[in-house]
Amino acid sequence: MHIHIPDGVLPIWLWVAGYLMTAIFLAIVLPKLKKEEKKFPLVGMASAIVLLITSIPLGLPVHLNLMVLIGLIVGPSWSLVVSFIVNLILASFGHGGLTIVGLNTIVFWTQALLGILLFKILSKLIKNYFASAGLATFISLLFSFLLIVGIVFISTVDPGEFLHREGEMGHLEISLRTFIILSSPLALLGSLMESIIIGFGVQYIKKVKSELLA
Amino acid sequence: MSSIYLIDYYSNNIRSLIHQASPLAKLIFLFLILVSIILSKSLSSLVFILGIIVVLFLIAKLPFLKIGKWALYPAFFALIFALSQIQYGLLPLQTLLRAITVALLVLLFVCTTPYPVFFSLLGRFSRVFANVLFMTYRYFFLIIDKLQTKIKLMKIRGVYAGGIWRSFKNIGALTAQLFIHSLEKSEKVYNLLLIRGYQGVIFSRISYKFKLSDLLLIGLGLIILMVAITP
Repeated sequence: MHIHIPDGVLPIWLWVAGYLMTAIFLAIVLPKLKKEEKKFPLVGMASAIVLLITSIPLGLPVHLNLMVLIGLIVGPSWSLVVSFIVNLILASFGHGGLTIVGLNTIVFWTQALLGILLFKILSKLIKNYFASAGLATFISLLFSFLLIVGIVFISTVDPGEFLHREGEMGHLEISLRTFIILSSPLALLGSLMESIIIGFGVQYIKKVKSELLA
Repeated sequence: MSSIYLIDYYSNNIRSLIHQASPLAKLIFLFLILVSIILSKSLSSLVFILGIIVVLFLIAKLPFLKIGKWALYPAFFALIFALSQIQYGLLPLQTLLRAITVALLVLLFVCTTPYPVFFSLLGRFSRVFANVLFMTYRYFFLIIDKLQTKIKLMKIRGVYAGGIWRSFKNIGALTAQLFIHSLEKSEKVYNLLLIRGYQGVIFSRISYKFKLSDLLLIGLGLIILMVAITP
């Protein structure tokens, strides 16, 4: 799950803040990752898989992200790099706005980080990898949806300003209620599908090649 | 899936004025037009920018109708936003037009600039990015073939038989297999790279000198920006 808000809708300060946050996090992790040359091909392949899977709509305009699985495979620092690269390339063919690559990177990375944390806790509590990975994915995706709603909430786009009719437009925000009503069924459906698939995927990896999970 | 294949084809095999322009000049042009679209406050200036982009598509000898269809995907998501602004007059239309125009602008850039050239520009900021971006690009086309073969095999074996739960299980297993295959492949690739003298650095020879046509492109971008921000 990531933001599909077109360019020019969110206020400049918000998407610039997204880029700044991403730049700060990258500046922290990149010097450390520079020494891990051996992981470059694996991370490249992981990014290619996410890019490929994210580009396939599952009938409805819903697609998988696999960021929780990526987090479990490449770890928290590399998952930030994957998040940025995937969102940048997706934006290059019109999937997600170019200005919101920074915010989308944060949303993707949050899924990976939360997924790693929840999977660690849940796999100790529930001795079933399908259930723990599925649940960790579902909670992470729902949290990232709330994050997206939060971003829309704080964006407070001012239509009166766009139309040079300040003060005449009455309520000056995007209808958050309409946005939630329209996007939550898709978000719920997508989260549920992805959770089941990731659950089965992690179960399979644990059986066949458990060392793949970082 | 096929969109990246075609983008790669268009950027590498078509020869036009825009294809031959400096990648840095095109990146500056993209930035200027992006700012114009964001700052533009009237429907007419958005229509003007869209018109310019369509003309540039024709100059670049790109099939506008085919590529234009890809811009409908972001337009669908923009529709959700546009519907949330339905009470604000022409604003929903502007939102839709912005989404389509930016998508077309970015598609114009990637269809005239090969991905490796674009990545080498980004790679100037970080060695990690340069490496991972090039490898993502290379593996994408390898994995796409692998995935297509696997999907065909799964269909032959009746992937959808046994109900929706079974289908999810099969898709989960397919995803896991892709990652397992990638791990094994990445180890081989790394060893091969080492044999060939790889030291974690990817070199590229891209000229950052501007020709007259590059300056004209940047000039056009500046004119559009001025038109867009003029009330």
